[in-house]
Amino acid sequence: MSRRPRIFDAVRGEILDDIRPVKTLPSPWRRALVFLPWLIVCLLLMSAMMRPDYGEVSKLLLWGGSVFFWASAYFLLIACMREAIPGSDISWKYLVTGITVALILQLLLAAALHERSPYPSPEQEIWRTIMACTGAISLLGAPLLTAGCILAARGYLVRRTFAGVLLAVVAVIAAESVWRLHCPYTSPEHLILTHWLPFIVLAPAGGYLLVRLGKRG
Amino acid sequence: MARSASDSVERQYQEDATLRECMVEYQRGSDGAFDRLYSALSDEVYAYLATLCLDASQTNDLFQECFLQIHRARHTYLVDRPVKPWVFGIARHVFRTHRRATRRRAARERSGARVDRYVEEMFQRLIDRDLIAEALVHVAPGRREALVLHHALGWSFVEIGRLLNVSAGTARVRAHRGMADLRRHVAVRAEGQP
Repeated sequence: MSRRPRIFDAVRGEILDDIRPVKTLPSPWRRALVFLPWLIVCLLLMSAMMRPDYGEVSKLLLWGGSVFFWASAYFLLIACMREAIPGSDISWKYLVTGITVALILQLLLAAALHERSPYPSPEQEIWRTIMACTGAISLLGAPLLTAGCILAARGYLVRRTFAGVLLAVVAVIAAESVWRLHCPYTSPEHLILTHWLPFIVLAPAGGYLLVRLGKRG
Repeated sequence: MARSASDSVERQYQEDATLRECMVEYQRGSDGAFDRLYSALSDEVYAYLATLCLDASQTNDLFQECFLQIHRARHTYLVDRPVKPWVFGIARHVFRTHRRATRRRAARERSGARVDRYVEEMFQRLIDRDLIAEALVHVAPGRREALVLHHALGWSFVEIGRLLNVSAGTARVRAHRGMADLRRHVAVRAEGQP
């Protein structure tokens, strides 16, 4: 009696009936290029509403920081796209390390900007600034999150919720790095309380969206 | 020794090139590509699933599901990447989905779990395959996976590390500790036998 594993005739038949050419998935870095049109649109929007202290603030810290975070967001987006390819996923330990480093750098940059040209948020309008910044970053990040989810769902996602949360991190980092070109408030508390707050909204949205898209697929 | 190692690398390289060609043909809709891929991978995939699952009937079901998933996910294979990590990534996902579903139903029959006869066959070159197969059940799952992938299926630690999302060093340590556990259990069981 042969002990070779056998595929059931029904399963084999189902597969052979469905044999047809398929369009292969582009590589992760190409799929992550969806980031570029999003960035261009955001920059066009921001060009009309640069921060009021743009003349005084250090251009290196402002633009250099943003460029660094765009690069970080792009690489994290590549990691998200790799999640959709079996056997290519990046260890969550590396990802958590990368994200932590990016967030610490954001804090350090904010502190450096605050040191050079402080622009404290007005205490009497604290809720207004929280609502404005949180809302704006959520709105800026949402299209990137949605596009990322749709692209990731086209692949074979093994860790859906993880990928959704990771995409939310990408959206927040990318949107914050654009919004900081407009928002003049430099205090690190403002960054933590308002610019990172959208993660609480976007993370469940990303996880939910990917689970839903996965079920439809 | 060095020559046999280089022969092994050469053989693996050729095997991977053949599998890549197969996958490309499969993606293009070639009729015989699935059967070629199946005959090249079925033994290893089955053995891998059997190692994870430790239940013959469940392994059989997962094996069917795995090839269905491979078929459905074939568009995600990237030509410039090796085939086996992609296939085993899917196999692993199939197993984990199954395990999650089983846990949710809280109906896992741990007591009935036994090592499949096929896995035993893999170990027939060793001293006492029944003894080893029984002892293998007592090796922690993470270590058992690395142990079988390396010692039975011949994967390198780098490949195992990629599959399990750990470093090659961690994979080596797991396989090493798995082997130590296996030896200990074999010794205990051998002493207990008349």
